[in-house]
Amino acid sequence: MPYCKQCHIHFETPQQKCVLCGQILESDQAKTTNYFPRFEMPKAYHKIFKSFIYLNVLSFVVLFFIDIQNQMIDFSFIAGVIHLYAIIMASFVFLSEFWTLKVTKIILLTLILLLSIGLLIRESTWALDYVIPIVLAVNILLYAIVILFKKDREDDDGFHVLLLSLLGLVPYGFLLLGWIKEPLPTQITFIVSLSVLLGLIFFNLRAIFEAMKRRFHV
Amino acid sequence: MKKRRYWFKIDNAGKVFPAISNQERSNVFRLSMSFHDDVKSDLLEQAVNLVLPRFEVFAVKIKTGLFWQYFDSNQKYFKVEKEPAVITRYFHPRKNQHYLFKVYYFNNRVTLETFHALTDGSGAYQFLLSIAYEYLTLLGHQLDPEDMILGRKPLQPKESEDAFVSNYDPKLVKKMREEHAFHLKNEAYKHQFSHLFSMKMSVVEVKKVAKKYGATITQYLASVIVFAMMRESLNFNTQKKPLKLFIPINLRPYFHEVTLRNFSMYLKTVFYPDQASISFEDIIEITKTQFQEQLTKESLVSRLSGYVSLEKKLILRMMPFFIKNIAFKIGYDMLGAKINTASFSNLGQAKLPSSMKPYISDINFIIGGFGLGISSISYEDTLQLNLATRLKDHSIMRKIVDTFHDHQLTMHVYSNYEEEYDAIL
Repeated sequence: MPYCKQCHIHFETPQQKCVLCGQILESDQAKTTNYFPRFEMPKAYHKIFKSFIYLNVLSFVVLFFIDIQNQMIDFSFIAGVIHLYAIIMASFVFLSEFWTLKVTKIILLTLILLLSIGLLIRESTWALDYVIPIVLAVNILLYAIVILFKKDREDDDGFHVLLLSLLGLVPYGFLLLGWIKEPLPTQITFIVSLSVLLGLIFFNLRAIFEAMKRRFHV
Repeated sequence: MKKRRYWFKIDNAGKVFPAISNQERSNVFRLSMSFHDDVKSDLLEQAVNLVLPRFEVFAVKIKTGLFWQYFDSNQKYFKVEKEPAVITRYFHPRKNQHYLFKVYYFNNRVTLETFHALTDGSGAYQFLLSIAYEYLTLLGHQLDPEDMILGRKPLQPKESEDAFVSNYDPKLVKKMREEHAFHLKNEAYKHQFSHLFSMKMSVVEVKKVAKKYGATITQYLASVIVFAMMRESLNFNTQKKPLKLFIPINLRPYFHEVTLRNFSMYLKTVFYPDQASISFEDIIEITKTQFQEQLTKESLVSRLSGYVSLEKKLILRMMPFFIKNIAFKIGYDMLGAKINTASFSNLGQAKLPSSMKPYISDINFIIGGFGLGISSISYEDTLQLNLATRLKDHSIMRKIVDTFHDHQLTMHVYSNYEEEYDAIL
């Protein structure tokens, strides 16, 4: 067993030098044990993500600088929104979550991107009138189908579908305010959202109530 | 009866941990049991998954509500892993099937690393003991639980109770004001490496020395640690801040509680810079007095009530969680992280059924800590004192060893540091 003459201690681990004083240890034939695995340099995944964020920020700064030179900053704002989207999207993709929630987050993020671009180019009709209501309706329907079959997650998923259905009612408000010109997709989304909402209240009320109790406890 | 879905509010002690934990400050502690033979990982995994549904406190994931985070039931299959080289390392629950503990195997050792938001050392020990019992049973050994294996007893609702809240007395609330403490400083190891230096001594010998000073083992060890820190910390006598050693106390025996969740509270030994040159004998006398003053039921209830009263404040309760989270982080950096010099946790004598003892060769308990995390546990006649630090300064460890030698205590030691690490850490 390695022995330090300076510190007067026996090491049970196969040390060459004393970890306290750095002296070379005396060794006899007694058995030593490796108590711990050997340290290996960790893989630097976080550096890849950091580099990705850095490149996005750099790209935005360069585009913004070029736009300022040309006295027109619209393009760099659009690029900025896309860069931000890319960063958030990358963080969503690497999150370990149940797939329905992950897909929903990605869809909602993409809808925000489309609306932002529409507003920046001052042409948001296509996003507000068609893309947002249709994609929301499809998402609500798909998520509602999932909870019919995935009973073990009914509290969580029920709560998420409830929030999504409430969000699905929002475009109808825009229609009433006159911000939406083409009514059909919004009306369909409204009906889908309302049907799912009523379905949740009729068939899943207890689970949703439980989920709300947990999430809003004070 | 085991419930299919359940949830708990995070207990008073655990509330702040999710907000303040990161790669630098993991708030993960470690309990391990060694067998005489190498661990069979498939049987270990089977044992964990057999035991886990019984331990509702552990079978949870952390979720965020509008006002607070909470624990929600987690029924995912648990996977054991080969032990990594870095001890008490921060882990993200998302990468661990959302569980807040890890079960590792390495050679003949099974290790449970637990995030402190979930439970304390006593709660985690019950879980590890049940895993080890189940593992040995799966290996074909005939064991008798001797009424000591929680996994073999019916689930009691009291196990998941927040005992801080149930013992809260609003009439005895003590104002919590804590002065900043002197801090150990040095260059830190890279890659979250924590250097562990463990000393194995005879319980009988340590008890004999402690008795000579009229102290308990915890009081004696705490005094040795304080003595080493006072002697080896650079310019402690010229500092304005006191040296404070925090010692967690298991509150269960004082309040007759059986909860598996956090139910411990720090008592502290405080030494001021003008006491820098006092003798070891004086330190141990002061330590004994400070223990006596703080270890009364009344003092414990008033401090406990002080902690709970904070979370009962309406303004804090109504604050959305994302603001609370920022407040916890800032508050901890400004106050919490500065109130102690080091922590020393003694889990005491490990108790297990006599039928298990022939198969268990060693039990250990390690707490991390950025400055110095000191922990100890005794099994049979071996007391292990573990010093874990992220700092590249070994002078306090050396002084502790020297002090034990001066007290005629012999020891065997081991470390997780190897010579080649100098180049990479």
